[in-house]
Parts: sequence; structure tokens; C-alpha cells
Amino acid sequence: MSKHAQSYATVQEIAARVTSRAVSAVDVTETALERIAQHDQRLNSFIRVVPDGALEAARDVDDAVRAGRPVGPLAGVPVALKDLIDLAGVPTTAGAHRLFHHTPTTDASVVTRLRSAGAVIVGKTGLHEFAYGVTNINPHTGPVRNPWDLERIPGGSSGGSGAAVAAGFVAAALGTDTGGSIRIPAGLCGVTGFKPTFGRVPVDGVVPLSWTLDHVGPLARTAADAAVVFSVLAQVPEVLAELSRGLTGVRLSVPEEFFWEELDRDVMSCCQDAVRVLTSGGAVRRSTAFPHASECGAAAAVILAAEAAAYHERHLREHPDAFGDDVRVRLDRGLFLSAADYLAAQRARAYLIREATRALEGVDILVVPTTPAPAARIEGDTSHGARASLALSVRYTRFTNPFNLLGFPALSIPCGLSRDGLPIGLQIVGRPFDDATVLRVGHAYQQLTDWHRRQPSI
Amino acid sequence: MGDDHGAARVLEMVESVTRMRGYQFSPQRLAAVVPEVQRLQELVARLRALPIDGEFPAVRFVSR
Repeated sequence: MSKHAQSYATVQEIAARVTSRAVSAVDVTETALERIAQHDQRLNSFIRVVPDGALEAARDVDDAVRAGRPVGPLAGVPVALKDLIDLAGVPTTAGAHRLFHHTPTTDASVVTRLRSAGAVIVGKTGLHEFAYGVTNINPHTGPVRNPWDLERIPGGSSGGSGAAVAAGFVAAALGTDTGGSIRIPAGLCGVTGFKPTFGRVPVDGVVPLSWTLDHVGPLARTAADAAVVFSVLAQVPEVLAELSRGLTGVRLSVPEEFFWEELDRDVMSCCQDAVRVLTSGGAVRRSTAFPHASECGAAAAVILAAEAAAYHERHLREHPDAFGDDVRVRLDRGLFLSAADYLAAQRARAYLIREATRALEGVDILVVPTTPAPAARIEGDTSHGARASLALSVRYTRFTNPFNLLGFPALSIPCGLSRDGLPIGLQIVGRPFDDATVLRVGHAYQQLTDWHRRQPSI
Repeated sequence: MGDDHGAARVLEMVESVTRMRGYQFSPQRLAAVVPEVQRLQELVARLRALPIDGEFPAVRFVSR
């Protein structure tokens, strides 16, 4: 296998080759580290690479394989962590000013689980400051750039993770998703991103943004790979048995009000084509009613503002100038919500979860676009300071943050390219704890199309 | 809420809260946050219009 092919191999291919000794974990890791060293200066997807730790972990995997010990489903797979997730002995920066960095002595639970499954952690990826924004234009680390067009944002806030997977640096990366921060960069970078059901993946050792809305999940090349990583993170190996059941009998709904409005023409066209692929593949279209869908974003915005301000209040008092302009405005605004305002949003959340649960009673999945438009330009669309950043957050999270509020599992898969050659994402949403069906439908779609195999020229 | 009137009321509320809690806001920081606070207040008003009187403000997710 060529180095290029190895760089774009899937999680499942790498683990199978390492386990069968077709390749060593050290070789796979060295190839990943070389590619990062060669290309990441232009993308800026990594904040820190940890070659020594990665090679040591790879040697441990190879030793285990040689000794015939079990090595796990991620044996020798290079994985990156959004730099909001603790890796013992390595500073967690949260993409923030150095005043706010900390060096953990223990791994986050998700990292412990990845390592136990044989994963090789190669580094920490860039993000929007404190994960609070979608552009990944970061005053402390510089912007992460989209591998499909270096003049464009990768989406965020897990933009470094999306760019690193798209660029062939790693087979999978962890992101966090509070309003779309896994699915938006997955959509804009042409990779697969999965936000599991709320609570299924532990968040300890992860810098919080909103306790009600935060999720941890994988970005990978395929839905099958996302399923493997999710099965490790949530300790639910049974989810993999569902993957190959196909589309027959799957009932899907396309909620046209709200979720299919205000769309870029290419997004509309590609997502409509994707729905046709799913129905021609055996899924059955049903109608549903979710009359207050547009209010999910309102409740999510209020809860996020209040909880983020609560978490950062002391830092805002003591070091207000250590925040980027856009993030400081986002945090400041939450200081002026009352407890009654916050609880009104939480009560609205309860109401909206019940309404959305009813909407999904007769169907298995909802299908909606991931973002209303492909990636925005770094200069131009996003260069006018805090107000532009705030406006882009409202725009790009429109179809994703409802599912943070609801806690439902949601997957973004590549479903086409715009006329400018930019990736477009389709979102598949399921019922709470039915993560398996969401991943199954994504996998079935990827058996019928090749959008997930497209690679940027870097 | 009319835009000008609404913005003036929000500015008054923001100034009052900053004084009461001892936040040190520069004029620029104050000017930047007021439109966002106003936007959040409008979102809260929309949420209060939902039929939420009987709702408990917490949801527990339980696997089937």
C-alpha cells in the first residue's frame, strides 16, 4: 500500500492490517507524523503533535500483536484529539490564552477508552477559542484552514479535527459538539461526523462549554469508522452488528419547514439528491409534524449563553482582555440573563423534546442538510470582527443546534460538492439511544455513493 | 419591542447589572454586548410564548 493510500485508509482497514501484521503500528504512525510535518504548516490543523507518545503507544501495540495479546478495534489507528480534551502530561489549551491552559495528570475517560482499544494519539487539534464559534479563526493560534480551499474556514468549533481527517493526517479524530461543532466541520471538510445521543459518551476531562448541550464524538472518513470509534467511546460494541442491515424498511422524514429553508442552491440540490438515493435504496418516506422546530435554536442559544457565562464568569472578571473579541461578546451576553430566563429555556427544552419525540414516533430518521451553505471565506465573509463571527454562528448552527437541545443522535455525511468544489453535508437524525440506526443509514448511503471517498488536493 | 426603545431599555438593564455585580466593562465592551443581550431577550420572549406552564425544567435521558 502506498503512503498516500495508507494516509487515507479507514480505521477498519488500518486496524485489520496492524492486527494481521501486514503493517506495523509504528509504520502507520510514522507515515501520519511525516504527513503532518510536511503539510500542516499550511492548514494549521494541529496545536500540538506528540510524536514521542505516539511512537511509544504504537510500539506497545506492535508488541501486543507479536505476543498474541488482544489489541482492540482501533489497533494502531492514528487518532487526534480536539485540544479541549485532556491527554495526561500534555497541556490542554482550549484554543485559549495561555492564562487558561492547564496540564492534566490523567486522561479524559474518552482518551482512556481510545487507548485501551489500541488507538495511537498523535496530537491535539485546533479549535475556535473555548469551542465557542464556528469559524476557527482564532486570535491565539491563528486560523485553521479548510483542506479543500485554504482561503476558507473548516467550520467549527472542531475545525482542526475535521481538517486533519480530510487532509489524511489521521483516520479519526475526536471533537465536541455543543451547537454543531462536530457536524459543521465534518460537513464543510467533506468527512463524516457523529454527535451521539446526549449522555452516551462521558465528558469528564473535557473543558465544558454548556453542561446541557455538550457532546463528545468522532470525526472519521466513513460512517462505519465513526461507528467503530463510537462503539469504543460509549462502550457499546453491539452497535456494529446493526451497521449492515441496509435501508429496507427504514422510515425517513424530510421535515421541509424550517430545516430546508434559506438554503444555498447547491446545498439544496445535493441534499435532495441524497434523499433520492436513500429512497431508491429502500427507505420509505413518511411525513411528520414538528411545528415548533424553529424554537429549538432559541432555547439552545439561551441555555448556551447562560451556562457558558457561568463557567467563565471568574475569568471574565479577572482577565477580560485575554479573550478574543467575538468570544468575549458571546460570554458577556450570558451574564445578563436572569435565572427565570434560563429556566424558561430549560422548560421550553422539555416541551420541545416531547414534541420532537412525537414527531419521530412514526419514523426512524429525519434527513436535513448539515449547514445552509458550504464553507465561508476566511477573508471577506469572516474578516469583519466579532459581529461577522456572531452572524456566521447563527447561520451555520441553524440546522445542527436543535439536535443539541433535543439530545438526539445526529450524523453528518458528505453528499456532494458545490460548483466551487466545496463539500456539502447531509444530516441524519434519529431517536434518543437509537444511534445504531443513524449510523446504519449513513453506512448504507456510503455503500451507494462515493462522496466520502473524495479527497482534497493539499 | 421597538428597536430604539428596546435597545435603550437593554442598555439600562446592562448598566444596572454591571454596577450591582461590580463588572468592569469598558464603553466598547458595553456597546458590543447590548445588541446580543437584546437578541437573547427577544429569544426568551419567544420561548415564554410556548405552552410551557406545566413543564419541569429538567429532562432525564433514559435508554429504552
